[in-house]
Amino acid sequence: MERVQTGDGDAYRALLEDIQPLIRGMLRRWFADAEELADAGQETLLTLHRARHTYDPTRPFERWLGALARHTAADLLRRKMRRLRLEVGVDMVPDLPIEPATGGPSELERAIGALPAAQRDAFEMVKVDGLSFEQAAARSGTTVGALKVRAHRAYKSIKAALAR
Amino acid sequence: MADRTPTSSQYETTIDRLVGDLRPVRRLPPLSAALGAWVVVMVGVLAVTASMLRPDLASHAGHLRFLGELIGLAVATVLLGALALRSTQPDRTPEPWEQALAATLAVLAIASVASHAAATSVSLGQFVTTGSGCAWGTIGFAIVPVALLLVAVQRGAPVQPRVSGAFATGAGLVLAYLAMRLHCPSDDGAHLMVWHALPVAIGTIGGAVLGGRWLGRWSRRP
Repeated sequence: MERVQTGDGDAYRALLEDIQPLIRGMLRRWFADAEELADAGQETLLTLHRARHTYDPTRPFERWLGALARHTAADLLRRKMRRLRLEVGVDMVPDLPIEPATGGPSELERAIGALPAAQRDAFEMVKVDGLSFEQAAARSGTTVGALKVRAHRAYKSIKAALAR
Repeated sequence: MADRTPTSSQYETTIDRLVGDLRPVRRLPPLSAALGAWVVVMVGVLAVTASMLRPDLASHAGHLRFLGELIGLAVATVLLGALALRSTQPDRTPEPWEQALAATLAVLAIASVASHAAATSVSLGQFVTTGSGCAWGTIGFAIVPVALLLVAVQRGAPVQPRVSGAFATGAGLVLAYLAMRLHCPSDDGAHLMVWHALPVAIGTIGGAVLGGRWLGRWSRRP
């Protein structure tokens, strides 16, 4: 890890490959589902990447990695709970008024059109085409975590635009 | 050697991306160095206070209770600063028992402030006029130390950003409380509670809210 902090790519690749079983072992306590476990494992790698400057070489690596895995798991579970609450909240979808056909783009289309390209693609793949995060990430050549972030930002921008 | 599972191709894609994105990073300073810097900040604030000490400080210095209060505040400032700085490293985040201990000490400190006798001869106008200056004084003394600690914490990876925010602002505000005890000549319980302790409590809660929003951003970067 010390070499990783100096920018050694080979050491980083070896480390990331070596710690996969360790991360899975740590996360298994919270995620029984294989897909969720894999997702959490990838998120943990992203968290490690963002926090790599905080590793202190005088302290045990496993403990540091365990703290990051715990943080990632807690974050994912929190987000899952929030999503579940929202899903319950919109179980009974109210009838929406149909916009008059004026020939021009609807407010929603305008809001989607105003998004940055990466966010728009992520949103359309997940919300319009109905792809899973994994499928959408593979199609756009990015990670599941990054794609989720893009889709979430797109959703927030659209929500803000529609609220105006 | 990595084990091969149905998800290993996803891992490989992620690993490729992370390795491609790898840049050298500057490690956080050792905790002892950061804590040393915090003590220097404390000394700096107290040095500023030395130019505006309360006129009756010499007579108060002999009172055991007053001395104990000052020592307790100084120790609390160091401890809170240490907890805030520790929280920059994910594996050194203050344990639940340490957080509970800090909360208990805070309650005891408030009880101690409340036990000061309240002056009965002060009109409401006087109470507000003299008191609001102390509240501003507390904020003034706290601004630099709180900002420095928050920036130091933000450079790390706090996994409990609200707790880190509360410790960082709490440390700066308790330091400001200590400075104000050396500056303000009032020992009136109501004055201390409303104009000295309340800004510390409100500021610490505000720090927790701010921490939740600002100090947790590191884990949401794309």
